[in-house]
Amino acid sequence: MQTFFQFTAYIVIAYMLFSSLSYLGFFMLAFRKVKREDQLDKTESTEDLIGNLNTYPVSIIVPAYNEEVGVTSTVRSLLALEYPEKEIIVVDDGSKDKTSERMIEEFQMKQIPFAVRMHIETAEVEAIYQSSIFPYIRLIKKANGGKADALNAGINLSSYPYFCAIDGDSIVENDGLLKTMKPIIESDGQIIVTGGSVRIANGSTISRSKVEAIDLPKSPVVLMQIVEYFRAFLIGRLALSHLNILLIISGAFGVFNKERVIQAGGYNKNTVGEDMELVVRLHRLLREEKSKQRIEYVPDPVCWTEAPESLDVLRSQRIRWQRGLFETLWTHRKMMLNPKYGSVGLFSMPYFLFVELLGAVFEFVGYFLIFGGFFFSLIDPYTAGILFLVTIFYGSLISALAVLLEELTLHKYPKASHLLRLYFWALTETFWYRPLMVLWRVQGIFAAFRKKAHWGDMKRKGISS
Amino acid sequence: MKKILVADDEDILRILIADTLEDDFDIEEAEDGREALEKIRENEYDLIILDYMMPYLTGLEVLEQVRNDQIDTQVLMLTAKAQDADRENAMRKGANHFMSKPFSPMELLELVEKIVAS
Amino acid sequence: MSLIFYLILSISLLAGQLILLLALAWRKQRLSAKEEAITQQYEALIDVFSSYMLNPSDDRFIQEIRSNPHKIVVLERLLNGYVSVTKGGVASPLVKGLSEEFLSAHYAKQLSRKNWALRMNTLYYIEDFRMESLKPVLKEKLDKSTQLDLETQQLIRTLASLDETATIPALARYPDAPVRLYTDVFKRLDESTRLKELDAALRNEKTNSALKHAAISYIGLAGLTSFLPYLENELRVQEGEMRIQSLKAILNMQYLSDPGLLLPFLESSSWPERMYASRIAGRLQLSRFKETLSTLLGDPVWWVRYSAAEALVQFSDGDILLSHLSANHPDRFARDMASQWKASLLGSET
Repeated sequence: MQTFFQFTAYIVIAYMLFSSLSYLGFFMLAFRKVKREDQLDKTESTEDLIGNLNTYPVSIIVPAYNEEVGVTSTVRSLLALEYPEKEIIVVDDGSKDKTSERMIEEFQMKQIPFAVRMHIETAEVEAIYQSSIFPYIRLIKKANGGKADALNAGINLSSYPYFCAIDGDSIVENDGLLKTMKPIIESDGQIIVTGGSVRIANGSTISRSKVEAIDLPKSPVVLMQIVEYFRAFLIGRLALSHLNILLIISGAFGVFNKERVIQAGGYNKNTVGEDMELVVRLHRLLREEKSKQRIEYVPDPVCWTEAPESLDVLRSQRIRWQRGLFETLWTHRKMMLNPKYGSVGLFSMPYFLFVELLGAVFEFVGYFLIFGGFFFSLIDPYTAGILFLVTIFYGSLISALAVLLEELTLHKYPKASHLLRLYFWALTETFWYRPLMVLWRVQGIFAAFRKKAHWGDMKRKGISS
Repeated sequence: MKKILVADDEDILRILIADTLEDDFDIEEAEDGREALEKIRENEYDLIILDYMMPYLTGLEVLEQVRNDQIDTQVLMLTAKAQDADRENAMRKGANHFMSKPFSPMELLELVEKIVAS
Repeated sequence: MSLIFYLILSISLLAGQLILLLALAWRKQRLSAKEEAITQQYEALIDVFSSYMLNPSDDRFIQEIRSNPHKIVVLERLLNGYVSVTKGGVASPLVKGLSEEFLSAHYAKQLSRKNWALRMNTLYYIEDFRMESLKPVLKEKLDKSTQLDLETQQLIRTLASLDETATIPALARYPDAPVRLYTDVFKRLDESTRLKELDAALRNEKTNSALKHAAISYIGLAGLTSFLPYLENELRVQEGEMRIQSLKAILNMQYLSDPGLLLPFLESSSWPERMYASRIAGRLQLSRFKETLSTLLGDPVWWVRYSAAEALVQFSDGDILLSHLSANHPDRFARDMASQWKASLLGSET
């Protein structure tokens, strides 16, 4: 029996070393691009697009479920977006609170009888409203059908060739839409999806629907999510985008070519990871057509979102993410290691399977063995010691490195004290935050087997003061 | 001296406008929609210059509240280039004059003089 | 695998990270102190800057900026703010004077720096401040360029803003140069140069279709009616893409000398042509096409139905027409479309 555990321990050690090295490899790939654009004057590079007649009009779709606290300030921040031609569609997905009432009151909305072109089937639309102050703001009130269904309803009502999906609790920076549309415009439509990167708003002062002062939150749980975000962003997504094999366009901010999305069948209602699933389906569509079109990630942060502060909410979020990831990989398992799907099949799918999904299982086993090795001689104490060190390396040291690398490239937090706090909290990761995440991610995998659809209610306070 | 309120959140533009007009008029400044509305409710102006898109309250909403309060001071709205819809909207809500951004300070001075003289 | 080895490895990695951390923290401290100083200077100078720009005889600004330790960055920010909020700001001799005096030597050096982002920024600023004196350096750079990357694209835009026509042949060196870049050039040239270049592009002796496409769409967007005869001629003779571009331009221009030209397009077998023709008929309120538009309301293509309805709405009796059609049109989709537009009319009236 001990040989079995011993053997497992070696596998876990090998896995962690391998993943750590691949993280570093990914980062090296991304480093040059990030560093290159570091000092670019971002207003200058988008300035020209504002008055430009070549920009494509965009429909902004805001799915909202019980968002009465934040929905109007989200729409206000969208109103102030610099973009030549846009419309805003809020979809109230059968909220139980006063989401619609808030919208109707704030923007003096009136019901309009508007026949919608049904590109994609959705749950029943109860009513459509239009603002009498800003006619390009509309509201769909519909029966509850989940986030994917809400987005589909928004797509049906939208009148422009591109749409942008944004969460009801996010604040987009003034030039966020321009920055995100820029690659689409500059590629003359060859890029069909762009995802903007998202930052955690907790701790920063957001008023006047824009970010006034950037600061760190007090809560360690949120601090750790920031560190986690650095790690995922710098090491994972950027490099993957560089290789055009990006799988996740964050649900908080992305621009999509509407025609392509409709062609792919819209958002999938049967998964909780609808944003990722759609992107994978689009990849699949492109590969099957042998199209030259592609999907890109914009490294510059464009959008702020509120991270959960309570462990309960964080837990249900992580379970939901993991479930979504599982469901997506399962739905598209045909692509896995299939050369027909190019680097997406050969590279990203396995990466997401082994690092993002099964990583939790390996780590879980690792924690179990360390504990068992130290207290119940499940494995010999030397191996347990090595495993322990490698776990610290994989958890804390890599995260701490991510903090340093962020500072080296993007340096988005203004003060030296921010850097120090983030760094030292990152070092603690292995000892409390990571085990929690690992546990929940494993639970998420189980949950995926049980399949119970729910939105993962997120309790929140408004982020705009 | 006639009294004018200049409400714009963009520092450099607001200061330029204020500097352009201050020789001939009594100028007060507001940095956002809320401050503008407060000042309008407390003081009497001969002209209000409102930027269309401002934080807290947009110029359009300030205008609407002002008209709801039965204040009929002349309002000059500054709108972004090529936003015809905004202009039409503001007209319906009771704006009297428009100037689309960007404009030159002299253009503005001429328009303001014309408005105040009439 | 020995434990000691891992222990030493981990500790040395940690030590390495701590050193890096200290270095970065120190750098951050320095940079944020500098940034703060710059912001302070900027805010302190807005007032005198504004006075100077309105009345150059008040030269307090010149004296203060001359002795300012961060004069380049502060001036850059002030000028940038000024040109973005004022019309004619870019053509202002004061902007030109300030930038040539304080920035041109610095920019000439920046242009050959290794750092790509700094070179790009410099190109943007040269464009914003219209710094004529740097034109020779830029032209030399353009001649040396070998691929149409982001930097070359911006270089072309910057030169075009300095009224340099060599930008068009430079673009033509790249066969897959997108229409968008040609349009960017037209937009930036001085008016008289622009008209000459547009005319040359339309005559198009070298058959550069992207250039021609850009010229037609620019003419439409800018509403240059003097080119209308050319566009109308294009409708008669050309095929495919250029014809659609011409229709689009006419739609934007909102003018047509002979409405009869439109008829073949309303009945065309290509749906984009039917769509644009419908929209033109609506925009120009050509009531003789009301009947044709009513028929197009039942077109198999959604976009044509949509545009036909949109066109009908623009007529003074559009609401009556649409009510009638929403009840009586033989085609079910046409009735749907008509009632949708009827409804949107109700919505916009409130």
